[in-house]
Amino acid sequence: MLNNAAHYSKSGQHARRRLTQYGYPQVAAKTGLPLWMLGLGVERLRADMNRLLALLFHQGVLDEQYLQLQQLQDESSPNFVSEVVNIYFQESEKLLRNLRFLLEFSDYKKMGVHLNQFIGSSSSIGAKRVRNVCVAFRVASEQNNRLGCLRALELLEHEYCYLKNKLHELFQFRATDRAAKTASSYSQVSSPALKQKPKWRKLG
Amino acid sequence: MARNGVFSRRWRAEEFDKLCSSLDSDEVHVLAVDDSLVDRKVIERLLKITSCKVTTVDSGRRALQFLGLDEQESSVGFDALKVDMIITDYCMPGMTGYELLKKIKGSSFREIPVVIMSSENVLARIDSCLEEGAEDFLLKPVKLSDVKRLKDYMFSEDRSRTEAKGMNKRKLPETSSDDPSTPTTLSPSPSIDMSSTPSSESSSSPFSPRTFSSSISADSSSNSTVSSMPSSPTSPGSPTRRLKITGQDL
Repeated sequence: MLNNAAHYSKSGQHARRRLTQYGYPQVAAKTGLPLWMLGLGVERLRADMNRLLALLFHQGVLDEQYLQLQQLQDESSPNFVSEVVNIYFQESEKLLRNLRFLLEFSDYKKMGVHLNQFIGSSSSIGAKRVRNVCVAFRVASEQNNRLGCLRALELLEHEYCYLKNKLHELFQFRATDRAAKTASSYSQVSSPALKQKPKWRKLG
Repeated sequence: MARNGVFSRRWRAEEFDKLCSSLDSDEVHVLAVDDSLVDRKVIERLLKITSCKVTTVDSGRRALQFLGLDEQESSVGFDALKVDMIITDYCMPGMTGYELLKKIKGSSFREIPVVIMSSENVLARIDSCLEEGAEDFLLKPVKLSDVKRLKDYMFSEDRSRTEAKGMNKRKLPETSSDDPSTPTTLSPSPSIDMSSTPSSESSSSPFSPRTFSSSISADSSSNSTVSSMPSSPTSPGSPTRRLKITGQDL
C-alpha cells in the first residue's frame, strides 16, 4: 500500500502540470486520473472562481442580490443563475441600443422609461455598478442634460461590458467545474489504489 | 396568449383543466405580475422554492384576464383556480400595479391579498397602495426572506387560525389594540408580528379582508414602515379585525 502511495505522489506532480496546461476535463479523459487526483484540480478551479467573485464584490460590480440568486440555484434548477443572467444580457443589450437611439433624438422621457427598466433588472441580479450608472443617467435625462446623458451612456456601456465579461468568466469556471465533476464520475476508480495501476505506469 | 374572446375562452378552459389537475389544494397559488422578464423569472423561482404554485403574467391586463375580470366574459368559473395571492410590480406600462390593485379590490376577488413590489422607496406610493388595500409592500430586489415571511404570515397562519379559532378568542382580552371599538385577534404564534388577511380559500372567514400590515419584521431592512391606518372593512358586521402590532408601536 505504501509503495503505491509513493507512486501516486510522483505521478501526481506530472498530472498537476498537465491539469494546468490542458484544462481539467481533457486531462481526465486522456490520463484516466483517479478521482482524488482530479479533486486537486477542481479545488484550485473553485479557488479561482471564488477569488473572482470576491473581486467583483470588492469592486462593487456585484452585490448581495447576486448571492441571493445563487441561493435559488439547486439540483432542481441547476442553471438558474446563468439563465436569469442571460435573459438580463439580452434585455440589457436591447435597452442600450434603444437608449442610444433615443439619445440621438433627445427623447428624454422615453429614455427615463428605459432606464427604469434597466435599473430594475440590474438590481434584480445584483449588478450594482450598472444600476448606479443608470440612476445617474436617469437624473441627467430628467434634467434634459444632453451632455450628461452622453457621458452616462458611455459609462453605462463600459460598465455593462465589464460586467458581462466577468460574469462570462464566472460561468466558464462553473462549466469547467461541472465538466471536471462529470469526467471524474466517468472514471471508474472509486478507490485510488488498485484499479488504475496499469495506467499509472504510463504516466511516468 | 389569447387575443380574441372565443380563443381566450378555449385557452382558459384548457389552462383551467391543466391547472386544476396540477393544483394541490394545500398548495398556495400565487399570481405574479411583472413586465420585466428577469424579475418574473426571479419571483417565480422565489415562490417555487417556498413551495408555491406560480403563474406569471407580464401585465395588469393579462392578470385581469387570468382572473376572468376583463371585459370578455368567460363562461368558465374561476373559483376553483383559486388564486391565493397576487404579487405585482408597481411600475408597469399600461396598467400600473396600483391600478391593478384598485381593480381587484373593486371586484369579486377583493379578498385575495395583493402585494406590491417596487424598486422605488417612495413613502407616498407605499401609503397609497396600502390605503387601497394592499397587503404588503416589498422593496425590490425581492429576497427569499421577503417571500418566506409573506408566505408564513399569510398562509400558515390562516391554516392554524382556522384550526385554532378558540385559541384566538382566548387571546382577545390580553391583546388590546389602539382602537377600543374594534376587537382584535392576533396571531397565535408570537414570532409573527404582522396581521394578515384571509385568502380566497377561507372566504367564509369572519375576519375583515381589508386590514393591511406594514412590511415589518425586526430584521427586515429592505421594507419601509407605514403608519397604522386601518382600512374600512368590506363586511362591517365582521366581529373581529386584526391590527398589526407594529402599528401600535408607532
